[in-house]
Amino acid sequence: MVALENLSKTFNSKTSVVEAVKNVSLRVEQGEIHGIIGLSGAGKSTLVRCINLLERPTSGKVFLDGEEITAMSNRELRLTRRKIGMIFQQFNLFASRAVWRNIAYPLWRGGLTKKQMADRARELLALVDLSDKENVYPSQLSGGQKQRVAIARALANNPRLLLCDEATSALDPQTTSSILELLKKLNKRLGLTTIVITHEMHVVKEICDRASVMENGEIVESGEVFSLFANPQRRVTQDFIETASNFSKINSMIDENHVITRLRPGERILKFRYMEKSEAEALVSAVSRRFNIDVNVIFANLEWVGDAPLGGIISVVSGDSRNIDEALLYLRDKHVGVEVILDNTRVSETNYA
Amino acid sequence: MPNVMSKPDILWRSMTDTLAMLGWSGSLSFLIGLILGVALIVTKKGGVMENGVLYQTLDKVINFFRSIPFIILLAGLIPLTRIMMGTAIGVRGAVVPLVFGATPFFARQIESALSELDGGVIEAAQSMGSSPLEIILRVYLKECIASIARATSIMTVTLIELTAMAGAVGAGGLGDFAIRYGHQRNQIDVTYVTVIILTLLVSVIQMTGTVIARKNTH
Ligand SMILES: Nc1ncnc2c1ncn2[C@@H]1O[C@H](COP(=O)(O)OP(=O)(O)O)[C@@H](O)[C@H]1O
Ligand SMILES: [Mg+2]
Repeated sequence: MVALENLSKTFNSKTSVVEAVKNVSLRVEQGEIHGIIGLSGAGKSTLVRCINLLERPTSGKVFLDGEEITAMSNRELRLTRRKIGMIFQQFNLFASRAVWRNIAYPLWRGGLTKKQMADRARELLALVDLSDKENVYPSQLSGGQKQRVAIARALANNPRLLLCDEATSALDPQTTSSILELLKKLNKRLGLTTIVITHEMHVVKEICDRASVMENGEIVESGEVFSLFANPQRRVTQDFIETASNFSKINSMIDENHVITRLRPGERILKFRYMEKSEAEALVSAVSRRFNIDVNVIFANLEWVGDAPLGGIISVVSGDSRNIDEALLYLRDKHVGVEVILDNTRVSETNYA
Repeated sequence: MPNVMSKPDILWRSMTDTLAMLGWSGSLSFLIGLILGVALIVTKKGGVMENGVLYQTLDKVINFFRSIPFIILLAGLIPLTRIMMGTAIGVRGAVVPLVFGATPFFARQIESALSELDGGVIEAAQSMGSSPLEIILRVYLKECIASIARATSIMTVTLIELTAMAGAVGAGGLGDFAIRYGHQRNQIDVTYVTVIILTLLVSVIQMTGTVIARKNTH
């Protein structure tokens, strides 16, 4: 569907040279929602803008359905752009046009009468659940509503691909969820291939099938969302997962000698993480019953990616030392990662993390 | 108002002359200034028809003409006016220097009016496949109607000042009327009436600008 081949973009100015995108190759399949996550300045926007050539790549090729966009004439490029919708963080609606005229903007020169354009706009407004706003001006809309209009406008010419550059970053969490739901719905209903740029982990978790992690202009890790986040290989990916969880708090609690981390002999603080798609089963109660140990949950950070649980649990485990060891072996068998955070089993030894 | 009442025909003639100068030079300055202002915006670095050489040239030429005092333009342009209009006096003779006087100023105002438009909106239009010409017509000019209207009313008011000055060197009109009778023959009521008419004219122009701007702000 979309293929990027060795794409690079370097910005040259008098004072500096910025390699915003470095030799990126990426494939996004038909019907996929692909997330590109990275910190601010990682080069995500530049990369996505290279797809519809809002930014001319310094080198490399961009293909859409096998056609090389980077080799097109200006005229061909403009026609192709009509088949690539794009939405932005700041919505970028036309302030002087009413909602339906915003949506009808890209329909111009499509050979439609004014009435046909208005009908099409109405149809699209219904699709984004904003039917009552056709004659309102953008300044009278909330952020979420503006983004819905922008989405409707981006879909006007039945695009094959939708590019979203931080489309929810200016929205509050609740509105973000509703926009993400809408994107998911459009993806399902229209089979719309979607590329989502974000610096927020939960966006990727909520709607993406596959994702790529970007750092310093490069894609450092790429894959199916579940495996990417269950088994992060790169520091930056791990950091994203940490920011989305409260697990990092445990270290400061230990430093502060919080009451819950003052272990009695034989107790350990352990972190369990789901490593692979595993049957969702009641692991905590299962191991405690089966191995006769106590598992006292301190933090739990579980999310559902598709039908598999992602995330983990930090808990104080107490009981017979051998039973605990057996329980841990059992969990490893079930593809649950176990990390010792604090161990008070052997009194002579101090903590190791 | 004995002096004014004694020459209603001359007053009327002065008024129509002023309006004629204003109409002609205003329309021409509007058109040329608009084209130049748009050209500045689109050829600028990062513009939709980026062209460094053209931008620099326009920029320099506009600055050059802006820096010449109008009274010197009036004199300096006489030969050119003769060639273009066949005369350097009267309404016809005044139009050329008026256009040269107002256009550079208006082009700059259009440039600044259009530069207020958020670049994101231009990008959105590009991402939807709009051509540069389409972006000029359907985005820049459409989205900036309010500030263009404001700039136009300022330009027209400036033109009224300039017409008064042009009047002093043989262009006719209300400025000429006021100087010839009010000033030189000390007919003070002529000056007052002229001032009142010009004030009314300015008010009407400003109001029109404001109304158009308000109607196009959503
Ligand atoms: N037009 C530009 N000119 C110069 N540098 C730019 C330009 N656009 C982006 N950059 C630089 O490229 C890098 C990547 O930017 P960007 O793609 O916006 O990152 P992200 O979207 O991941 O925050 C940054 O260092 C940024 O300063
Ligand atoms: Mg960005």
